[in-house]
Amino acid sequence: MSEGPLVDELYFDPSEDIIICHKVNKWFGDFHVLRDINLIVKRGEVVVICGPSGSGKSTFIRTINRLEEHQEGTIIVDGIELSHDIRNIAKIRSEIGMVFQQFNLFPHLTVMQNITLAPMWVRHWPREKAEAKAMELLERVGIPEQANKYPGQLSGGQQQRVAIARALAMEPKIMLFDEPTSALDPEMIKEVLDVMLELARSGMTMIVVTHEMGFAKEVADRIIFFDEGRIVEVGTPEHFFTNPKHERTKLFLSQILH
Amino acid sequence: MATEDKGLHYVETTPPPIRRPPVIELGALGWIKRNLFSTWYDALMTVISVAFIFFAARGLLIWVVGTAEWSVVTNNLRLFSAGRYPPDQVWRVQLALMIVTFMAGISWGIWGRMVRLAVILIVVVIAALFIMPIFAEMLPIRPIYTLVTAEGETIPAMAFVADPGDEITFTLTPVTDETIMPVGFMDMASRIAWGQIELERNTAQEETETPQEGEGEDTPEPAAPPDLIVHVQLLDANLELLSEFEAPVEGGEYSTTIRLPDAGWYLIVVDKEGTAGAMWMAMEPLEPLKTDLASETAREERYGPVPEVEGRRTRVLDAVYLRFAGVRTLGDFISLHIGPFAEALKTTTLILFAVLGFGYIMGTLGKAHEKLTKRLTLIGWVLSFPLVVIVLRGFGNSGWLPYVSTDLWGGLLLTLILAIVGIVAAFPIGVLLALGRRSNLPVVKIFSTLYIELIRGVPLVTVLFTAQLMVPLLDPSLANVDNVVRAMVGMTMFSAAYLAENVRGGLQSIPKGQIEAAKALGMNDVLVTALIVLPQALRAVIPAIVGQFIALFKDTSLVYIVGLLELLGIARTTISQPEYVGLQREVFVFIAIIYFVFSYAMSEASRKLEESGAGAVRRR
Ligand SMILES: Nc1ncnc2c1ncn2[C@@H]1O[C@H](COP(=O)(O)OP(=O)(O)OP(=O)(O)O)[C@@H](O)[C@H]1O
Ligand SMILES: [Mg+2]
Repeated sequence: MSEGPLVDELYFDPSEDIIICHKVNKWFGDFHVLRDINLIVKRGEVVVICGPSGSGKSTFIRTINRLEEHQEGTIIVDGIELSHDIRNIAKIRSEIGMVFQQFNLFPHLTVMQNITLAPMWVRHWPREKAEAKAMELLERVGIPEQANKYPGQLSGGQQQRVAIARALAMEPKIMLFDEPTSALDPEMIKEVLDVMLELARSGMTMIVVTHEMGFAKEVADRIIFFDEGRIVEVGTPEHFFTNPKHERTKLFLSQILH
Repeated sequence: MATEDKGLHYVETTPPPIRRPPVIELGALGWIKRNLFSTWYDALMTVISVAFIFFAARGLLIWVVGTAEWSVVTNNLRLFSAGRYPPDQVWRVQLALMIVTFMAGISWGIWGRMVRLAVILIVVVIAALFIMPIFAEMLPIRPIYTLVTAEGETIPAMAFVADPGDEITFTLTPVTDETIMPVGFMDMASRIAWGQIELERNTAQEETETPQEGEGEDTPEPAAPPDLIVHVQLLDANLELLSEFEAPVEGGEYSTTIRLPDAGWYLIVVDKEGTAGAMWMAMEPLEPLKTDLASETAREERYGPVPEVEGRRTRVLDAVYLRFAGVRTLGDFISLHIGPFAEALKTTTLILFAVLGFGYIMGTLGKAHEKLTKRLTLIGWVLSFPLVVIVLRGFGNSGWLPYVSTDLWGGLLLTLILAIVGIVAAFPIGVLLALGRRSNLPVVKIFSTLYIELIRGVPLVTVLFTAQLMVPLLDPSLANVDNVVRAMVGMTMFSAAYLAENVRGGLQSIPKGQIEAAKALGMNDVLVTALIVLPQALRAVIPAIVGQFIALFKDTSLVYIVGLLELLGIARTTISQPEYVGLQREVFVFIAIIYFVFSYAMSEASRKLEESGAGAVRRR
């Protein structure tokens, strides 16, 4: 732990640590879905989260941009604590981009409109600036020629790349990915992972829920293993794949790596 | 080709060529066989349906062409279209219609496509409106008949007008057992008398067919031999005798033609002697005179007042005194009904289509500056509403646009205004109520829910009565609000509640992921609703909303209950006029057609909207 202000016995350095979760607890009714989650993510770090289905991975990353509310504990993102204050929530959400398993593109808008909507309405950019940025991002994700199509006219892989571009258009400091490739056919997974790889290498802070172990091996700084709502094991990819300690992790890896 | 090894191994060497799909020629007979008679129950259904359609349509067609008295519609077109709106101000209604048509034309030009079918339809309508009156003029018209019977009451003196050089031909035909009812215009007394003759004839026939017991005693006395002599005098406007003739029954058919020397009124005076017999008297060429106010005043100016003879009533041979009797042929139908109807409509329709076309051209030209034209068109639509109201309502007592109280608005005009105002006003209210019902704010939520459930729980009539009668109780200053506005408020309140439920359905159909994605981008609730949820929700419920609007359009007919004379109210007042008694079928069929045309146009437009890019909910 680095030097810095104290958050209930938790030390962190605001210039380096961008996400701080301390003793985060959450319940769905009586169901205790997140249990004492502690995690500090540094700027530029790529964290991969894996774990069995229903272990609370999605719920956890959704608490980070407050699509879900946590009931206990502290979450601080880029120096702003998540609370009921609406202004804080709006501020944090525009700092964090999120990519969903089901893409969630807006079907009534073209690709271009999907990408420019939030910059124009939330950041109040002029249309020209938003469109220039959008074109730049579409180039980056490799589909500039699809700008005027509707999401329904694109393949899954293309849609997910549009979703990434849409999130990046807000110039976020953090990107959250919730199983971005699990709804895709094998042939399309690679095109999406390539984009994410490039993004990771460009220094973006990323939290990625995925079962793509190849991706994890290649770019993750740390891998976090979730089980039954708690963090069971954290480590570097080498540690994780060569020398897992926890029984649950071993079992999971033996299943996933056949 | 391919190498095959007993079916176990197969390796493709030459791929099969990519070809166009085969064209399967079916032919008309093949199509019929496949679609209508493929199995025995298909065949049965086909036969039954065709038979049903044939009998239903045949009866209707015979009525429409053969016997229905459509003049009630043609004579009252002004009432049906504008109600009691002052006749000398009706141009304002047409002007308002032209404003709206022009805007529609521009919108069509800029947003729509040239639809071949619509153009063909317009051309056909215009052509029909021009050809039909000409065609009708060329067809011969039926004579006017009157039945002279020995027993009947004195026949009134019959007045008609003529221009110099006209001729009139009288043909008297004795009625025998074989005589059938002539087809032409007839007065009520003749129709009744003829009904009597046919009745006697039928009973006589039955008696001869089934001879009764006690024959001999009961045999009716042999009828007295017909001895009727009809005496006809033709008088001019000064009651000077112009010509006279006698036609006895025994003489058989009698015919004479008389020249009419001057312009003016003439009187036909019929006397009769004898104790038995009857004769049909045909008078031709003579058209029943029109009875609308304008024609009557024009006639009075040109020909002077109607002359009267002493000692008996005088009846003008006009459309009130005479009705067409007997089954019309198609030719009669065209010359009597289609022709005048087309004549009455053709000028207005032509002007409207011209305005539409002009708007269309302007819209097409505007495509050069598409953004600007679209913006101007939208502004034009917004401005056209107050403009139409100003044109229709007017202000002051004099000048260009004298004030016309909304009490006088009626007919289709009122129906459309109620519907359009209801639709335009109910839409935003309905959307707000739907959002309110899903709101997190308890007060808003409870208010919206209460409102929706309350309104949906009572019939429209109640809402209309409440708006008419109870509103003044709430606040006395509201007593001055006129009836039409109150009805508008009632209609709007009512349909807003139903609309809200439709929109709510659409809101519920939006997947949660859409909202989450929008929130994750930093949008606040207002932006999420306005940019993501509502656009998708509204598109999803276009069919339901249009259905709601069509219902609203038809429901405007209920305001006649609170004393407003919209289309249905006018229909009811029309058939209560003495000269149109008994013609409710014609009137109701006519307004049903109007309701249908507008409703169908709306649902067709909604289908186009759904298919077009603007409405398509794209597949994810
Ligand atoms: N809105 C909710 N209400 C109640 N229970 C929920 C809700 N969302 C998730 N859960 C439950 O919480 C648990 C964790 O769900 P979560 O979606 O976070 O799991 P996950 O690790 O992402 O699983 P997967 O790999 O299947 O996506 C699951 O048991 C789920 O049934
Ligand atoms: Mg999940």
